[in-house]
Amino acid sequence: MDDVLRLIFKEALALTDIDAQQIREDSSIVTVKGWDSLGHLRLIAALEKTYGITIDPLEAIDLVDVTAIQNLVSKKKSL
Amino acid sequence: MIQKIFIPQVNVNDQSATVVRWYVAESSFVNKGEALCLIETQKAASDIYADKSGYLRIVCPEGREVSTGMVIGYVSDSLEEVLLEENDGSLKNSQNNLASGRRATVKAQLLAKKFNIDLADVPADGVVKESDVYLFLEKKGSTRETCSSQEGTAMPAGVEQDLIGSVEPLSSIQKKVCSAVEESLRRNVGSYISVEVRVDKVLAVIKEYVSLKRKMVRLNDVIIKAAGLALKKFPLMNAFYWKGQIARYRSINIGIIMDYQGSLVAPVIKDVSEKTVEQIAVESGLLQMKALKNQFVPEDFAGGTFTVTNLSGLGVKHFMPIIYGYQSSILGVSAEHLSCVEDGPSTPRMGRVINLEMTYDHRLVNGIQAAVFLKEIKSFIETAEIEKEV
Repeated sequence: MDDVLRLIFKEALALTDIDAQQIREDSSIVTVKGWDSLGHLRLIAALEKTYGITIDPLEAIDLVDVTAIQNLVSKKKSL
Repeated sequence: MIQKIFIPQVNVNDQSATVVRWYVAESSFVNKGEALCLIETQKAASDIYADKSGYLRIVCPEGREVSTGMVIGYVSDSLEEVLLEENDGSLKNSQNNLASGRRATVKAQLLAKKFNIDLADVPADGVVKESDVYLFLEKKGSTRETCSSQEGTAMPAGVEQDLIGSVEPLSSIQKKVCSAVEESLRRNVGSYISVEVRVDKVLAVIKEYVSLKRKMVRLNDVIIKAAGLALKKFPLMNAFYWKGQIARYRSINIGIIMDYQGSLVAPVIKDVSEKTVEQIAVESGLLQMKALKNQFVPEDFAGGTFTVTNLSGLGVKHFMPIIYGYQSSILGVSAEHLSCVEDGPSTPRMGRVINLEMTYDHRLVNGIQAAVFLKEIKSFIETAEIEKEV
């Protein structure tokens, strides 16, 4: 997991350094502290802003773990 | 060629809209399809886009409420083109003849009206512009800052004016929320009840579901489903009191309170009792995304018969929600937290719980009915039935 994505998680979900360091590729909405509805919206907004991509609402509701986010970001950036 | 930017008729009942924000500065070049400004009607906010590329001329300032069909700006191939047209008088919405025979822009006229000055006294070359009025005010001893501070209505007696830092008008949506809250408190006889719900089991079920299916489901979606089923069993909770009568709704449509442009709205999930938790999760997720992306349409808010408001993300443990619209009750969801729970007779242990808080119209629903209704929701969440639903 790259540092930029970790930083996005840290800021969007207001995580401490220790909590942010514990995020792995298999981390999901049910394992990451603070990844609730509001956190998810902040995360989507931060991903769009940082990577300059647009995430469709139907895509956003499928982003349930870090791997899903990484895959979507890679796909969008390659377009 | 000039494109007139009109206030559109977003909803059939809309007679006016407020220009909330211009995204593009006056005189800037805009591309065809670019969002120009945000307008707000009584029910929704929407963007207005450029039909052509060109230079933007703004004639309606931010914060002003204008009638539908009114011109609020222009996009033209050149700014000179607009000025020539304005001087020619063909753009009648943007400026009017004054009694003195002089001409002034709408902005200038509004400013003059606000400060009660005669535009005939304002020195200007040709058309009187807003900047001319400001210059005139400044020469009279009023800077722009002091002009701004004069906006708004007088403060109530007993409030020291020096303590007021600024006064700003509410947005249309905020005004609507204020009216709804006042109306709710005036119309309903609210009583309050709360229950603690254990969520260890359902959280484990959700965790397993998300891991297996990689689909988004949250505790709030389960609560909405539980409320939908409970409403089906207790139709009195899906009704409202009206002039000595009980008006029962045919459908079970649950509004979810969410933050939208700094105010609260309640977009609706329809026929909740007939939907699975997964379907509810998809719909609630889409509504949240609409809030994030300012994509709500008036239909999203229509038809609510019951409301759920969730402050768990903010760590709130107890609150007393206010009944929303023509409904008999509202369910509040508090933050998940650790509490001492009973695990069999005299076997305490620490477990994760939430509090469900409900305000109900006591004319329609008595305390026992409210308690049984909440118990039904609690039972649904705490038992394994949710596994079948998910």
